Amino acid sequence: MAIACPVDLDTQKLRFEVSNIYSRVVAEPEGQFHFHRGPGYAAEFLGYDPEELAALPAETTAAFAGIANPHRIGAIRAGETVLDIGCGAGMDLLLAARRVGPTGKAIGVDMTDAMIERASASALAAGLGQVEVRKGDATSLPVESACVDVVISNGVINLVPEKQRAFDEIVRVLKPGGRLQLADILLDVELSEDTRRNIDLWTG
Amino acid sequence: MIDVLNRLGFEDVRILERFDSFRATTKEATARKYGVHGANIFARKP
Repeated sequence: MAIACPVDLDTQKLRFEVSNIYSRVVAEPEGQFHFHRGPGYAAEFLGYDPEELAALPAETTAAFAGIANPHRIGAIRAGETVLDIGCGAGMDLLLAARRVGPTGKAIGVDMTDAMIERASASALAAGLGQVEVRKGDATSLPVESACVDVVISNGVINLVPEKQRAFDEIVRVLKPGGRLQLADILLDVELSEDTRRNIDLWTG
Repeated sequence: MIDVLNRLGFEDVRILERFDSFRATTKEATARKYGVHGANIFARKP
């Protein structure tokens, strides 16, 4: 993954497009998209436990649009603080909240109002009081420094044009010894400048 | 990605798993062209 984006990429337009697409996922998860959604995909393609997913609110799992599975990377322990960057409708966030339990904390950050509302409502419905959802984006996390044990993220960092800033923020919020359990897109080929300038390819 | 995380000072950086996340989507051909896939990546802050 290239850490720099083309200097003339319209990052505001990119943010708008990303926000638009994922708001639509919440509103109509069964709609037409270029990526898979939902608990069936999560279990079949990414190895999530179907029983664990069935225990979560259906509105949350239906709007899941991750690309890999941060929960298969390493254990999340009781009492830990987890940060989910770009938590979306909250499926990974709620799974993390169940793992940290009532003595831990699961913080979700998302830039899309529809996602924040959905994740917050689902946490409430699931009785997970250790969940807190905040508005923000990966390049300016609304989280104190050195307070997070585990950062998770699923299919989000690849959509952030200012990757250096996003990674600097991850370093800032992690405690010393803290873990990054990153589920994201990798490319086998280096993209040309023209390709990296194409917003349609960034968003799908 | 691994190089980026190593450069930032992370330790124990590893790709643990890869996923064919775009199989059977409308963008499968584009994903194949650029070798795009989902991946699980671990790293630890010193």
